Amino acid sequence: MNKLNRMVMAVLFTAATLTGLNAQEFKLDVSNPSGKTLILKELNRVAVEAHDGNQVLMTSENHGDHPERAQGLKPLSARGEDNTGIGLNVTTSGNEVTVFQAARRSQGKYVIKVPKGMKVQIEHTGQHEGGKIEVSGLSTELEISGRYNSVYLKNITGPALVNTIYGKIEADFASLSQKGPTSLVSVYSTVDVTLPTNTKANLLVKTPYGEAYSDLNIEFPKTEEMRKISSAIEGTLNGGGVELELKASYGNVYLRKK
Amino acid sequence: MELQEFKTKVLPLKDRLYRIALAMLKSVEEAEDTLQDVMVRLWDKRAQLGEYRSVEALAVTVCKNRCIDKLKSKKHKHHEDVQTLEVESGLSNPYRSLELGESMKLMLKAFDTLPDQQRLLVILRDVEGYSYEEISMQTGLQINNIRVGLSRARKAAREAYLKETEYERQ
Amino acid sequence: MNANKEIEQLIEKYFSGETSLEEEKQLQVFFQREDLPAELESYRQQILMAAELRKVRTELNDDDLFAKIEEASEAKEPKVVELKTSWQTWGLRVAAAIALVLVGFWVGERFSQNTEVSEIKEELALLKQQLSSNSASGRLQAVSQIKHAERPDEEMLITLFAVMKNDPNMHVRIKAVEALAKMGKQPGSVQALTGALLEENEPAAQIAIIEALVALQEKSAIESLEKLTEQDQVLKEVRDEAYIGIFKLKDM
Repeated sequence: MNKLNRMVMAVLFTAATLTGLNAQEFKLDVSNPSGKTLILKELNRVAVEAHDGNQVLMTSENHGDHPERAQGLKPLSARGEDNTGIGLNVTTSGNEVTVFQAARRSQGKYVIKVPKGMKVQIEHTGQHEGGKIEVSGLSTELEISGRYNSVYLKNITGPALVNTIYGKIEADFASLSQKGPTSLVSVYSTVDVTLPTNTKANLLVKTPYGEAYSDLNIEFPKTEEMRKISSAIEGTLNGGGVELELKASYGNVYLRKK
Repeated sequence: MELQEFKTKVLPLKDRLYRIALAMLKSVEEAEDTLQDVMVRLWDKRAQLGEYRSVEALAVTVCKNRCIDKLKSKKHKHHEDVQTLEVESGLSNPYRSLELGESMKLMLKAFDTLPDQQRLLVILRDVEGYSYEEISMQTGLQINNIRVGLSRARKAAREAYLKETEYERQ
Repeated sequence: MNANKEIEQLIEKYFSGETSLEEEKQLQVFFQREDLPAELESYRQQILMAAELRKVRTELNDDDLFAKIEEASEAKEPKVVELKTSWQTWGLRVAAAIALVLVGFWVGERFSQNTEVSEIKEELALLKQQLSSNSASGRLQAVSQIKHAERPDEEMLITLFAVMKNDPNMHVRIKAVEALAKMGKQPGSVQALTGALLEENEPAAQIAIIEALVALQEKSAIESLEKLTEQDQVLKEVRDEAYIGIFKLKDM
């Protein structure tokens, strides 16, 4: 395991390339990306895009601001070693590639291009920081867990399990994958979802202290019991399908037609 | 629970568990299978075993449940006739390892005719010598029901035995 | 003759299920004698049967059994790893609570159940397999598909307890909480829920657990809810939710 890691590391260093002075890039070859998972941890601002190809491409904007005195020195960080030269620590183990933000740099934004077919997990647990998390074009399973982060999903299919506490979630689905449930939860903010009109789903919307709005044609079960549960709305879209759960405990849920 | 503790606390229960399985399933082969199953299951649960008030009670419970499941699936598949045939031809005599007198053989034959739950109670109480409290933990039955069940089992065993001896005498 | 009378009384007690272990031992010793009175002869085999059966030993030795254990755990290894580590991190509180109720609960039920058993078993096997998947959506699916909610099997409960406490994904944990709430009061579930409540960090999951405890109408949960309201790191809204929960439970 350790040996393997060291080996991987060696490969990584040779794979690292400098493409410019400002935007810096790090490439990681991934053989057989479907079935593998990319885990992004504690990246303060990150945009993930799917692309064709077998490489994970990581670029950092606003990088290269080490002071002159630091020439020839490596940045030290309590959060792990920067083994990419762009403030990230990358390790590979089994089917997982884990990327961890080593430098504290809270302003820098990372853009990460992921091979199509690779699953993506994003975690951010920072107590007082955490910016936007953006994901676009991904047609694989997606897991995102944040605290202060707002999450913007574009042109994705899910299944997506997203939760954040203070931030909002905006999700624009290209289609809704029927492979497994999709669940989007924000405790304090808005959950705003756009779906194609032909989407099949079993819908569950919970807004205990907020409201829910939609222009989609939701079929409601016509039972007495249903009416009593005011904060939970259950219904189906186009006859039903995969489970789609939208929850905003103290915010509103918006469900829109594409 | 670590390996060493498993060896000293769980493995020594194997003969008891085997006897229970044998009385329930009436087949050496199936009892051995069950004993192995039970040990595997207990090993899988070893992380929690330390927390159980009585590992022995849990072991007996797991064993008993496995037996009942097996009995059910057997009935389900109508294997019972085959089983009875085997017993009669001596092929799978559960007590083949014991040297028994003729009357004791009849007694065991009588015992084998008791319903599953009655055989279980007799094994737990008369053979293994568990207290009513322990049996209650192992079977989930209330103590009063255990007493009643035992009473019925013992009476039924006697009746069956007397019938057997009468039949033999004729 | 007097001694015989005593034995006869013991025999009578024995057949009505009223003898103590001590008395049963006395009977067994008595019936070993050669010069048994003729009228007691017919009881001899029955009383001695226990001692006879006690001689039975399995031919499987410890090594055989361990070989089997190894074989089984190897066969399972790649799938089970995830669950196993989570079993090990199992909180003491929950495990202890479960241990207390488990043994009694689990067995009695099974005598009366028939075909359901194998169905539940299959469902459980499938569930466990799906739960060891590294797809969170797959695990969520597995938990939301749990049926037989009105009569859960003990292993099913334990599995749900473990998921609720240990699954890395919040959505899956919440789904387990909701599944438990739907099953109504089950042995160990209140303890498991309150235990999970105090360890849970995600506000949405904390709220789900509070709702479940209120739905179960479990007054004994009040203490844990009060503890939660005293924790500073818990969000104000969650604490409010706990206050409401306490209020509703006390009102019941």
